[in-house]
Amino acid sequence: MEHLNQDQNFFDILIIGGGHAGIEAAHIATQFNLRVGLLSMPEVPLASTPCNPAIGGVGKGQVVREIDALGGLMGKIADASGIQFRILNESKGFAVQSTRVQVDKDLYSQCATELIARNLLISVVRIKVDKIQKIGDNFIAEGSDGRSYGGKKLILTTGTFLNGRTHCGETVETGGRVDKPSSSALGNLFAEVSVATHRFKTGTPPRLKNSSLDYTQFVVQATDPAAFNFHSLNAPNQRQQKQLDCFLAETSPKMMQEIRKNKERSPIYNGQIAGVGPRYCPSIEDKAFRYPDKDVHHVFVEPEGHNRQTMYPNGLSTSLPLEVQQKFLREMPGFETAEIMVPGYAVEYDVINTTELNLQLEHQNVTGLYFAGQVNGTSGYEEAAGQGIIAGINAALSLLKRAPLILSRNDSYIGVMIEDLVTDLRDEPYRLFTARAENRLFMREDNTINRISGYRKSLELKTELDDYQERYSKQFKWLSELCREVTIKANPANRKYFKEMAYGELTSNIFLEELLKRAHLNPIETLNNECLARGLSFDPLIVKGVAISLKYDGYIKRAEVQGRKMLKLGQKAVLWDQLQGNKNISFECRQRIAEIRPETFSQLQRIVGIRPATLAYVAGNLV
Amino acid sequence: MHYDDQPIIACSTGGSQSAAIHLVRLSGFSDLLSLQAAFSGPLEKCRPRTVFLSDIVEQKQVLDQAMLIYFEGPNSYTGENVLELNLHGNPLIVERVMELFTSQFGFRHAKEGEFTYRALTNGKMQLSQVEGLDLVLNANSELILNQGFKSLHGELYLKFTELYRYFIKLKATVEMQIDFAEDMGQEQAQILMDEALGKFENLLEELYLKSRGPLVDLATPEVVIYGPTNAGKSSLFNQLLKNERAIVSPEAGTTRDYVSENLHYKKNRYSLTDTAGIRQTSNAIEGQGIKRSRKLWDRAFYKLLVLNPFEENRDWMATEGIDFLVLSHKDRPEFAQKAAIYLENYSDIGILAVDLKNPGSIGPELLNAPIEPLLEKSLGQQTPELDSQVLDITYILDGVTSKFNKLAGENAIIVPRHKEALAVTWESFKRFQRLSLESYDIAILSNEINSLGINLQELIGIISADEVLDDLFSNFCIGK
Ligand SMILES: Cc1cc2nc3c(=O)[nH]c(=O)nc-3n(C[C@H](O)[C@H](O)[C@H](O)COP(=O)(O)OP(=O)(O)OC[C@H]3O[C@@H](n4cnc5c(N)ncnc54)[C@H](O)[C@@H]3O)c2cc1C
Ligand SMILES: Nc1nc2c(ncn2[C@@H]2O[C@H](COP(=O)(O)OP(=O)(O)O)[C@@H](O)[C@H]2O)c(=O)[nH]1
Ligand SMILES: [Mg+2]
Repeated sequence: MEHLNQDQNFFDILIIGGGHAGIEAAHIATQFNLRVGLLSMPEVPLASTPCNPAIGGVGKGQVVREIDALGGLMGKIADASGIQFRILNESKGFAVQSTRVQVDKDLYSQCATELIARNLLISVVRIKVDKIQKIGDNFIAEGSDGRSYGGKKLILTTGTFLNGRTHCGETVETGGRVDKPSSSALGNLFAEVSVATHRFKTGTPPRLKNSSLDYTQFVVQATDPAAFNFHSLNAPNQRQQKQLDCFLAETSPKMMQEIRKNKERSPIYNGQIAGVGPRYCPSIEDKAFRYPDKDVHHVFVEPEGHNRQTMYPNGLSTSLPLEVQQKFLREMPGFETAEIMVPGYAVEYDVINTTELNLQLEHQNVTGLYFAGQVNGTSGYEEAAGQGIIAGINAALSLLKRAPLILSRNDSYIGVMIEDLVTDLRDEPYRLFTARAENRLFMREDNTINRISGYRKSLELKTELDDYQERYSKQFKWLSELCREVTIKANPANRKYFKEMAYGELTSNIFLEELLKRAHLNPIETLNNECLARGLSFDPLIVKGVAISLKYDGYIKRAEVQGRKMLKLGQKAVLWDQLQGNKNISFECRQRIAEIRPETFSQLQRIVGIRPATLAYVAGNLV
Repeated sequence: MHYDDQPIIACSTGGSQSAAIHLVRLSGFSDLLSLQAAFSGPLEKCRPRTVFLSDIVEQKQVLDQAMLIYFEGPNSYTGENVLELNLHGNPLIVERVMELFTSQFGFRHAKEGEFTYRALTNGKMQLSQVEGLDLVLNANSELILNQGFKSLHGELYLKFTELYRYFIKLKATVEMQIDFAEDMGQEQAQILMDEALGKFENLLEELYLKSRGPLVDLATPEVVIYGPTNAGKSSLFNQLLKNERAIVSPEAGTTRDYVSENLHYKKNRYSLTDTAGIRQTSNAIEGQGIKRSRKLWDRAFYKLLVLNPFEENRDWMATEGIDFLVLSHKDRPEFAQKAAIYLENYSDIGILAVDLKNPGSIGPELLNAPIEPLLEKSLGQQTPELDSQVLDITYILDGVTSKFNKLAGENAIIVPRHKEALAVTWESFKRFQRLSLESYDIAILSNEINSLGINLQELIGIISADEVLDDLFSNFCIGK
């Protein structure tokens, strides 16, 4: 041990897995001036995107911005490799809008690799880890080359590689991804760490040769120049890569017929795959069999990068045999001559029991051991990265003997996700939806810095980002006050001006704030105009944030008042063990309660599968 | 409200008055045999749910001979071990027996509603069942009693949870619009949401209508007499009471400005109120009285308007929500001509023409005048002949009963908490509907859905129980 302590190969923090979770954990830990060892398989590039190369999306865009505001990498990398930017839910109101960026797959990994390589405190070792041990307070990882690496803290971010098995039709191989090895050995290394009882499954569609598709049959979706970059220090609308189009295609009845004909050859339907896939991200087989009456589904055709010849048909995830994939594809309009470059496949893997983790993502039975990313049963790059940064920060804080950082579910999606993960077992891979957030009106993309800067500040790291956030907060406050205080007099000149701007009537003096709230006006444009008219110039991020915050102010306050009553109830202690013997609670509910051991009413409420009758019963008895 | 789990004792039959028998209940003791010293009979022979006879003794002195029934927890009302003692109905005996258990066996007197409270906390009952029990115990009419039993058996509760299920579906479709519209297509998402909306609305409306009925609490329906000064209101009041004199209860509610009496009629109990006449006044006290009259009228279960057709009543023609009209001064000539216009104006309610010859102040003894029905409609009874000789003011009372039974027959929801929650839910739903037509901002819509959800949770009891329980248990008599 002692010799290892002095060793080059002994680190403050050891991380296994260089995926989205792993690189965030590594990077943020070095901001505390700690030495990090990042061990990752040589076959898999850092921060690789095995599936849809898109970052962000509804709910997830918020996470990317939260990571960015905490000082993470994901936003920066996505901006640098983004080939198409879009705002989702644009027509549905500001609170639910999210940014999604289509990235160049190769550039994304490349950019991540460079950022990590430039960081002198991170040592990347491209090696497969076969064995992990805890000796005393330290962790030792043994690589397939026979060398050992040590660390005071260990963060495991091994993704889909725990006992991974891939399926493509009848072909089954071990591996966390197609043609990549799996991490079978890790599964039983820690007797104290339990693996969830069911395996999870995810899949990916075949990749198609881009010149083999007939784009005239698709609807073009162009990039949106108005979408803001993720990284707050980047100019919001400045793109770093040439932008590309995506396309919208549709499935056809004949194609769905073809799939239905081959039911017994589908690993999901013939019993070959036992893992549970996400209901929200169904394979094309799922769509064919679960919705027998529906033959037309959306398929987004997305480029994988400037230097790749492949297109990604989003919505066609499948594990049917190659020849069946080939056949059904060609029944789709525009796909008549489609050529498959890489077949679609599914992967099954183990995940750990996250209810054994605490809110810092540290295992309760093994001090110093952290888990983040898909190994925790989540799905998605953003979810992984969000956990990675939290595990990294907390491993560092713990090493420095400082108080942990825990994000609240009331002001961040990351907080929602982590609380959900550690308080409940999941029946399917966990993905963030805005619906999971009670406080959705407040947890928007536009006010991310307002929500997160307090957390960032508590880390006491004085970087460029911290300076920016301080400036931002000051100006935000200043502009908000301005809107509340500036009066627009109902004089003839202003009335004329209102008419010209189509602002509506001006019958009495109003505050600028009231103008911004008028339903028919876009508050951002209006505030921009009014700033210009007064010769004021603000960071566009701030103008947007202030305008939207003011618009929702009243609604948020109302929701808060309503929420308070429930909050009071939610915080009440529940004696879960006493509920065990209670015949008024259904057997299934009692089982769930025994697994999860809820301590408060709100935790009980969030348990999947708890019946209203149980809630009513328990609430009725919380005196 | 915080209780400990000490064993409790109470007399369930009041116990302060002499009666044939008094029932004393004990709950929460650890073991029946631990009470052996208080009984001469061998308690190990006392099997649950069977009657057992024994003397109750204190230091060899017999306090009473009692019939015991033992209920072993959890199969008892409270879920704990319960022992019921049927004692002879002398308050003194009851007192001495209770004293025995409190002084020597660690019992304490139960607080109000504590037996039921324990039943609730031990999961023997649900909140809505407790409310049902409240109705059963305090019912003053058959209707209320039936309602109480419905609640006790959880029928209403099932309806509420069904509504909650529909709500969850509706909420899911709204969430879908946000998180999945891109995957499934906006059109499809909208169709699903409209479907869910329809289902939810149907059930909510059904429940809401049942809960709405009269604005007042059906448990004590109030019949209010209202009208201009000198129309004959007080005369009518006296007449009604006189007519039912035999069953008028002596409970008085006399205040300076209006008078209420309780009236039993056909198994139901009503309160009848005579109000101050309405007129312009500069007298402050009379003004107050008039204000109260209006208020009473607004929340009355049954509204009786009294008019003298010989007066100028133009302002009263548009009075809304009247259940019954009484025209006085039938004895005066030209009454028929004067009354004609009222018949026309109030064509869809019951009208009675009366001669309240004996005028004057309040007091049943003043009245004995003949009253004849003139016209009687819309109350689901046979229409009496015009100018019939039948003197029967019970037409009015039958009207009241008929309205009452009609609402009752429709399974009215009468637990005040349910009524309130349904009303708020309904309002919130209407707001949501309006918003969904106007607004494109789905986050605001879903916000509205959330408050709808909170109201619904209150309905099925997912709320902090404190407030409800406090209110509820203070209504319970000890020992029930
Ligand atoms: C087939 C497939 C389809 C998917 N589809 C989608 C999708 O449609 N949408 C979506 O959002 N997400 C999808 N995902 C999930 C997404 O890729 C992951 O959620 C995300 O990459 C998880 O990040 P991570 O950091 O947890 O793990 P990963 O990105 O998987 O990284 C794990 C890293 O750990 C390394 N590693 C593992 N074991 C060892 C070991 N023993 N020694 C050394 N290194 C090791 C690997 O080399 C890898 O670099 C899919 C994943 C797969 C495999
Ligand atoms: N002749 C006749 N007088 C009536 C009749 N009803 C009421 N009165 C008289 O009208 C006056 C007011 O009656 P009262 O009952 O006190 O009216 P109130 O002010 O509405 O309560 C009294 O003098 C009564 O005698 C009726 O039917 N016939
Ligand atoms: Mg009077």
